[in-house]
Formats: sequence, C-alpha cells, structure tokens
Amino acid sequence: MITVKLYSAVRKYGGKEVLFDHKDGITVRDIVEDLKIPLKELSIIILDNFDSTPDIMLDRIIKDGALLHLFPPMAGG
Amino acid sequence: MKYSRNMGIMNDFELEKFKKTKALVVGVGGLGGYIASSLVRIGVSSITIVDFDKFDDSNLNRQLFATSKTINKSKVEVVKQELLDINPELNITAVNSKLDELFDKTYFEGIDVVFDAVDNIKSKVLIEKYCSIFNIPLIHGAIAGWYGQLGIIMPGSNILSELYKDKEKGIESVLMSPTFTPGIVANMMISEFVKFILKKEALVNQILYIDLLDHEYRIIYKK
Repeated sequence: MITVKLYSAVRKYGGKEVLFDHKDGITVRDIVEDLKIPLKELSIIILDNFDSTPDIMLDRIIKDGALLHLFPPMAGG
Repeated sequence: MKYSRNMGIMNDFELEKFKKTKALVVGVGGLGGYIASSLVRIGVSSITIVDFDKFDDSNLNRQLFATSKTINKSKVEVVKQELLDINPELNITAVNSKLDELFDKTYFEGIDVVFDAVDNIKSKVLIEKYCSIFNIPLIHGAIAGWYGQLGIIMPGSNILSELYKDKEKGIESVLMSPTFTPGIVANMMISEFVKFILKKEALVNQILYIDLLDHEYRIIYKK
C-alpha cells in the first residue's frame, strides 16, 4: 500500500489522503498522472521524508508502505 | 521606555543589534504591511519599503494600512507615514517602484536583511537573485487561503528558483487572501527574523508549510 497525502489546493484531485495498491516499479509520476494533477500545480514532493522538486522526484520508484506528500506552489503576498 | 515589553526575549545589547539592522521590505500590501509595522516595533531603525501600487477597496479585508482614508493613495507613502507615527526617529526610505528587471538594484546595497512580501513568482525569484548578488539573507513568505509558507533563504541557496521553476502562478490565484493569513504568516516571518538576529535556531534554508484549517505545520523543503 502507498499513502498519498495532498495539501491545500491539490486536495481537489483526491481529498486529504489517497491510498494506492503497490505495484513493482511504480513511480511518483505514475501516482501524479493517476490523480490527474498537472505538473505545473506541484512545487514540492516528499517521499518517505526526502523532500525535493518534481523534476528530481517524479521518476523515483516507490516502495511498498511508502508515504508520499504533494504540495502546490504558493506565492501570494 | 520604547520597546521595553520586548526585553523579556532580548537584552540591551541584543536590542542594539535590531537598532543597527537595515531592512528592506519588498511589497507593503498583505504580508508587507504587518512586516513593516512589526520591524519598527521590534526596534529596527532603518527600513526601506518598495511597492508600486496604490491601496484599493479589495485590500480592505486584510492589508493593515488599507483604510477608507488611504484608498487610492500610494502604498509606500501611506506606510512611510504610518511607520513614522510609530517611531518618528525612524530612518525610512520609500521606493515607489515595481521589483522587476528594471528595478534600481542599488537599493539592496548596505541592506542586512530583505523581506519577500510580493505577490508574484517572477518578483520572488528576482528578489532571491538580487539577495544572492548582494549576499543578503532573505526572509521569504507566501500565502494563499488558509495556507502559508515561510523560511530564511541564504544567499546562493536558490531555493525559490527551484520551488517556482516553470511555474507562472501559485494557488493564491484561486484561494485568494482572507483577513487573517497575512498577519499570521508576516509575524511568523518576523519571529524567524528575530531568532536569526539573536542567533537562535531558525528556519535557515528551510521552508515551513502552515495549514491554519487543519493545524498542520511541517518543514517541507530544506537544503
């Protein structure tokens, strides 16, 4: 099982938390595409406590039991 | 005595550090109005404020210095006068300008700390670039709806250019800015600034995410 936590505006793509069955070789990109989240709406991705930007994280393979956090960009002032 | 109620968290020597700090606040609308006010009230005696805009009706819900009397007036001129009302001895420079590629970068010279209180990605990334060029720590903040983020960006870390890479706008375009979020995030930025000056553990090269709706607070990015 993979637990995906969505934050602020990206919650419109699945609520606060979505559970996925684990499959061999599944990547962050697979999850993001399955949830139909446009890449421009993601700023930070955390996978099992490792945080980085989408270009670094999207092709990471997710292990069974992983926790994935997805954050959108925020720029209001 | 001025600022005496701050002395529970700092001593006379530390108060002098704030008096000597030269701060630049870019944007004096939602975040920036509260930031500028709190900087004066913490004892900072030299502040430069930058904004090209005038107050309008849509600012009344959240911008500290937007009132029925200041609508249609230059934000930097209004805020300058308000800050001088708090401390008449304040050394204040008001710059009525956009922070874009044409901005006079000499305003960054001699500055000790910069506050990012602008409302767009392009300006945020430019401010980070100028802070790296002039080797100035940047206190970053951003808000949208119930949510906010903040952190201290050290010169050369390029955190904002990474977070906003290939992005044109943030979620604030949909979630907008309610009454309370700017004041909360702005004063958390001030709190981090105070910790940074007092050499306490602060959010250096870290981004703290704030969800006021569900009370979630977590560091979401660090270098």
